[in-house]
Amino acid sequence: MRRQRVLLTTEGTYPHAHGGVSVWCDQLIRSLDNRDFHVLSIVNSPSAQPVFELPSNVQSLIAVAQWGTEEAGRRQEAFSKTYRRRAAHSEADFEKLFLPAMEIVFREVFAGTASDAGALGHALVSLHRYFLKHDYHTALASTRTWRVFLRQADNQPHPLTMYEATTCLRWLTRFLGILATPLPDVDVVHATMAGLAGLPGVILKRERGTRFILSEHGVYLREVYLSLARSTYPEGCRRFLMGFYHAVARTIYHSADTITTLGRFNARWQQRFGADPERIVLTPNGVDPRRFRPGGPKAARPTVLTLARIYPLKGIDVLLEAAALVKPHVPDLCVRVLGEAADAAYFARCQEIVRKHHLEGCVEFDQTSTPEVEYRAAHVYCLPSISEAMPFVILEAMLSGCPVVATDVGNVADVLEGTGLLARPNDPASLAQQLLRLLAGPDAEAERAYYAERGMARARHTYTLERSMQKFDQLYSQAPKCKYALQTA
Amino acid sequence: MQIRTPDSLISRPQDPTWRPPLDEFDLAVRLETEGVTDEVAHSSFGFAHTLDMAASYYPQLDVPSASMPSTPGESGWRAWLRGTAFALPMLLCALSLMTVGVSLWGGDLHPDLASAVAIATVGSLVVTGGFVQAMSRRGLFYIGARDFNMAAAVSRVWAQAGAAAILSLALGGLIANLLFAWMPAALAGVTAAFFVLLGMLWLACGGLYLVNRATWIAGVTVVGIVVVAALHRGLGWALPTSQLCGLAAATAIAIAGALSWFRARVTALPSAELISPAHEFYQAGYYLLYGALYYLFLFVDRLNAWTAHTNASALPLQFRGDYETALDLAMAAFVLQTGWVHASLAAFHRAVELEQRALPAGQYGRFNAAMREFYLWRLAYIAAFGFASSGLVYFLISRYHLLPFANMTPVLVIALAAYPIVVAGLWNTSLLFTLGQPQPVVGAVSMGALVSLICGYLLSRTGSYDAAAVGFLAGAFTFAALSCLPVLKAFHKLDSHYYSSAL
Repeated sequence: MRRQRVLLTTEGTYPHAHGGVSVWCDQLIRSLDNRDFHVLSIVNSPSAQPVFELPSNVQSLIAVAQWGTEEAGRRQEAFSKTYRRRAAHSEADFEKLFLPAMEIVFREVFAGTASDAGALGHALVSLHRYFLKHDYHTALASTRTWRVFLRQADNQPHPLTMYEATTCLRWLTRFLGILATPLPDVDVVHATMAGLAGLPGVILKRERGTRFILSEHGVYLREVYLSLARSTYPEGCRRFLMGFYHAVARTIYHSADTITTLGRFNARWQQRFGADPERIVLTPNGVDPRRFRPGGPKAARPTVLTLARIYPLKGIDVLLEAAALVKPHVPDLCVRVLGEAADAAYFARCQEIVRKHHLEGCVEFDQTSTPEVEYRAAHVYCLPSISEAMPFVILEAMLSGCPVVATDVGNVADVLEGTGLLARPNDPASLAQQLLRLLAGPDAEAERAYYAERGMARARHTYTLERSMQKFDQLYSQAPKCKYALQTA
Repeated sequence: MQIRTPDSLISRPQDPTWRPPLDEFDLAVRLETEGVTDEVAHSSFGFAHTLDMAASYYPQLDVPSASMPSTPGESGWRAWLRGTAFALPMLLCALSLMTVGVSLWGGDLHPDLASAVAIATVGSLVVTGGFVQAMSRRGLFYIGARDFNMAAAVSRVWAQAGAAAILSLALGGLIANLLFAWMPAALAGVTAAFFVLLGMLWLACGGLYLVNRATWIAGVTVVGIVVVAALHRGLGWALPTSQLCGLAAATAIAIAGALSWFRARVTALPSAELISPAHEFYQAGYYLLYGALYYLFLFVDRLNAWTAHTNASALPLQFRGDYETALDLAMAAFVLQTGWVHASLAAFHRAVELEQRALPAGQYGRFNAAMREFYLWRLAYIAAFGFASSGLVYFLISRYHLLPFANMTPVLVIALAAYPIVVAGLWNTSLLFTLGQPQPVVGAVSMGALVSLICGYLLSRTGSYDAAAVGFLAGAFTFAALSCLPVLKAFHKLDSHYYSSAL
């Protein structure tokens, strides 16, 4: 019997970058070793190298460089092929096949939250077909394409300036480069986010009826909002980017057979952004209980552990402010922040807080390659994040028998479900209050034992890797729900 | 519990990176990061959930329109200095020859040796000019994208190709000389040695320009001259040997300067399959051609002058020191003028950004008209500045009697008149390159070289050899005029060309 073929699509993660989503992808492919995978990875540069060793059931890795190529939409192919396509440019085909579809894309991107997902999906498939035979760069660089865009940009409630229009269409040519990539023939396409990595799913679903699964770890649109809150782009560009990502996410939600989500928090946001609740399936992350298990001695000092890359959304500054409030009550307190400093300016700010509150002997910044050992030694695991989806670290702490204090963000409350303590995000006093309860409260030791035991039981029941992967095994085996006629050439 | 009110989420004077929310979703996400979860929105504020709260607040907010600062550009003086970088070695060598009496090449040499060195100098510039252009074009793209690994890889490909071309032509020339006996073998050896070392120096200087160490180019030239002076004057070595050592020293420092910049930034060189020679040639072929043709255009009058009336010479070519001196003196004005091109290009980018920020997307006609006006004014400035600087240089040369050959005054005047016109052509060239349109430039510079060749050939054969300079002037007109027309045409659709030039 032929093995099922899966196209797993990623953006800025597996196998070219480290992080939670990458670990999940690696676990997925290794766990479902009775399937053959093709991995399509959208990367920043053509010189990006994989940082994960690809398992033997990965048949091919298609790296699509979004930036760093002198021409957008350049494929990994012999240049003679690109040149032949370019030389064969036909104005008649451009007029008939490209320009009408591109006009629809512009229209729907400007419509943003009110975009017509079906119309955009149809146009994207038409463009994909066009780019398989015709040159991407020639079409996008055309004066006619540019002028069509200018007309639409000028005809909006918030018209773009020429500067914004130039910037935005240049971006769009980079974003849509994925449409020029030939896609393998597969049984299932599995996208890891409702961004550009979801577009191959839209195409394969609409063109070939391929089963399309979308697994969002965070909620992509929500994360784009957060990243744009501090961007230096002009307002028109920010508005355009949000419109683009809204239109893309709506089309992906519309096309996906199944949308797996980590928890109810994510599901609520996905519905707000246009996902059909009937297609949303709760599929929490899982962790390997053989690796993360209790045991071993606790640290000599009362230790609060945080494992996180150091950047603003992780709320390390909030944890440090909370530590300053806890320390008078727990003089030998030890706060360990283990993770790479991903944002140098923010890290400097954190170090300033340490100096300001004289926490030098109490706070330790470091990194680790053995997190399982760190969880076992800590008295409390603290997640001070401002925004999260379903952090692996909480599951790992729970399985390791380390009681959790976490901010009430994302799906954290659902994950803990009373087996840990919640604090308000961005509120040092609230966080300090919960830490004190487990470190210096009247029944601190008993409470720690209680939450450790309950957390471990819940994690072993609900959040194991095996259980999580079984769910995907079932989802891959289901037949696609073909709710609209396939697009024929 | 401290929760910022939604109003305080609109602007944060203490946080310059904070942008106002775009819509109710944006506001809701920010409220959540401030601790207003669905539960808090319900229990503390009486809304169904956070988004409901945001949807209620957002329409009431007076969201300020954020004004973004313009992108800071290269300062005028810095741009001007960078623009003079490539002409500086020739000027420094000419100045050093006039003041100290030694230089990296040329000087007090036997006429045959001087001819050999002259062939090597012109040949090395023509052969490497294209590779330096291609290397800069391709390398700067990746440096701009901060992909230093790819920048190093493509630069290496072009530098190696240039070095291979230099070495093969030197070897081919030596073999051909054995067969056809153009010059004595020893002289051919010296020619080949100068050709190789000068070629390597130009390639290395191209590397320095690429990594924004243009000021090093003047530095390595000075170091090279000091080495020549030390060996020749201090140790009494023969001048050609000292010059070859000086060139080797300057080249080594230039290579080290470019490599050290890359070493500090490159993490891993990409695999060889990512660099396709066919694709590289497609991307940079016109620039390769232009670089070679440009130097041919600049030096074709010299070739006419050196090959005219050579009856007294043992070689088919006779270096004309008096003609060269006049041109080298005029070079001082040319260096000043080339810097103006680079500064004008930086001003062009600033003007584009300012116009584009001020105009709505639909008003591309006004944008094109405004920029056409900018172009013509700049062309006028460049011409005015060019002729003024040429006049100043002429005044200084006359005032201090710097030209020792009175009969070469017409050559000096013609060159001083031609260089501002060449610079106008270079202004057109830089604009067309910026807009990704190198084809018309190649046509214009080819025609310039051809006109200079034919006109200079006829005049130098029918009259004195120094009449070749008139050919250069005619070529300069041709180059400037033929490159001006495509610029004016491009400016009709500048909005589109500008957009597509960076896709």
